[in-house]
Amino acid sequence: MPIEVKEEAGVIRFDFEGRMDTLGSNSAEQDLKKVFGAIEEDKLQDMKIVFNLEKVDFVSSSFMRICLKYAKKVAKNNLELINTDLKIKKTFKIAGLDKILKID
Amino acid sequence: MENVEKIANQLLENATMAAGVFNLLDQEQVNKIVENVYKAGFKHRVRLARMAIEETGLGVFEHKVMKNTTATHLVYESIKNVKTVGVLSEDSHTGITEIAQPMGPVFAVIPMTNPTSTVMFKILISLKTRNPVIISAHRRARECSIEAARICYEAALEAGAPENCVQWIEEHSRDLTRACMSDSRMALILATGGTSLVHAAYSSGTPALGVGPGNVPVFIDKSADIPFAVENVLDSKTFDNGTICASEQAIVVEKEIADEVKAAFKAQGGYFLNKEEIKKMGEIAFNKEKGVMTGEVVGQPVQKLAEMAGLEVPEKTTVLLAPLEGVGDEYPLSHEILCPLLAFYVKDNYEEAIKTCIDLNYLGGIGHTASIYANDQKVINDFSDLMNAGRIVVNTPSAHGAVGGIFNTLYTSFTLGCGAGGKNITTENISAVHLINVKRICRRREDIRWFRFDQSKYFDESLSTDEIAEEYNHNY
Repeated sequence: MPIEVKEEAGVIRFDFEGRMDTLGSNSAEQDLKKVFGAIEEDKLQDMKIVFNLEKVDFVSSSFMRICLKYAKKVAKNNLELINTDLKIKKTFKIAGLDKILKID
Repeated sequence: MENVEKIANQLLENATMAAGVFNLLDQEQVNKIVENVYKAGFKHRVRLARMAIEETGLGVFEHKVMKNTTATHLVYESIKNVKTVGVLSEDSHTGITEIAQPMGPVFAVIPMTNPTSTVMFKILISLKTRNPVIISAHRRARECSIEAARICYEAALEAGAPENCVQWIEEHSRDLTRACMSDSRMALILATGGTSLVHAAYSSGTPALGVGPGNVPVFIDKSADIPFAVENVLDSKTFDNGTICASEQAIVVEKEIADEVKAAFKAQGGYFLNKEEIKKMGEIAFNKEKGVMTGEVVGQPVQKLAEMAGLEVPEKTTVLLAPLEGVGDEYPLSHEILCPLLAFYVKDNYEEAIKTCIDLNYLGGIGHTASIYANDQKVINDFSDLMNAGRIVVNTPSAHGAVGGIFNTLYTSFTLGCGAGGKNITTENISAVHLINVKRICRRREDIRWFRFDQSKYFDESLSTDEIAEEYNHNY
């Protein structure tokens, strides 16, 4: 499922949907690469990015790595995961990623 | 070696991510993964046994196959129906509901004596409880251990397990082992190995389930079926050339039945060493400076032992027996020696025999295993009461008996807890149940005594303990 991308008040929001297993994550990353590829490197640091996981019901290690990867492209705490399912929030906590990403 | 911290960090980062994903799986998904892993390990049991023998140079090929069979087939049978996800129990009377929670990344240390079997055992119990596992192989069993881990990992992934649910350390390094063990993200260490390894695990700051050394005494009582007892002892002691830590180390009998026991051993290939031969064997089997058995004799067959000590023994000898007078450093062969060699004690009476068993038990083997052959329940009970052992195996081969699941209903395990004696936290055979953190929902269930009792009486020093207790329990 392609990611919906919206920009509002300087924040780029990516709406993910479905299972972010290996297949889903690979597909998502293709979309992310297209969007990030069009942004100049020096502008990335100041950008605020939001990954909306409202319609995501499963995450894999691949997806978590994607989140990590893009969190490192922007300034600290400038990538936030929002609307996470309770179990998915716990998943990110167990994985220790709450120390690197903001997780709603 | 590439920076140790970097490697440890990557292993733990992978493992914690896997732990996060594992947490999302339900019991059915977990069971499917475990079944697939067991089947894959079982399928490769013979090849892995061959690899283990070729790489370590110790043990017996057929017995290594049986160890792999136990570690897959029997371990699977012992855990397949165990609930490890979600609600474990619910009691409306007590109001307590128990829920399973995984622990997190497990660091599995693998011994040289049972490499592939311990790998598969630890992977099965870790995956059953949704804990990612990192395998740390012994440097002398690296390839076969990693191959076993690889087989299990591929099977796990195929069944839907998260990526990196199984990892392994490619190159052995003490520094890397220490870095992993002490990493704050590591949840548990399964430490199967020598005393120094277990000590390092417990000192790392990460919770650990370790093991201890054994020095298994076998008391053959007057009431025992002697040929049966000797046959069982030999089956166990010769299994994999005596590499299992729970194998028999010393036979203790009363004078009254000594001749019969000796005859039974001789009839089944036992060779009794004379004083000179005992001295020579002691020199090659025991390191006096370090106070432990030498590595060279571990898992070696009888003929090789004889050759090393410069002895000549009959070709069909199954086990060497060393008649000894005492226990301790002056009698090197009274110590734990993992090969087909048994100390042999003849004592005047029951009390002297049991005292010898106590001495042997306390000579480096407390908390591990003790063995008795008897058909007198009082003797069995008294012996068990006196032994400091996590498992007292009765009328069964000690090695197989201690591992569990074959001759008794203990958990089938390759990690045998030795309790305080072995500086371990439990005396149990470690299994899946030990790798779960149990959470308890505690609903309100008032103790009526507390709520109806006039608590001002606790401040009245004139009332005695008995008076307060009586009133507290009144009509209860």
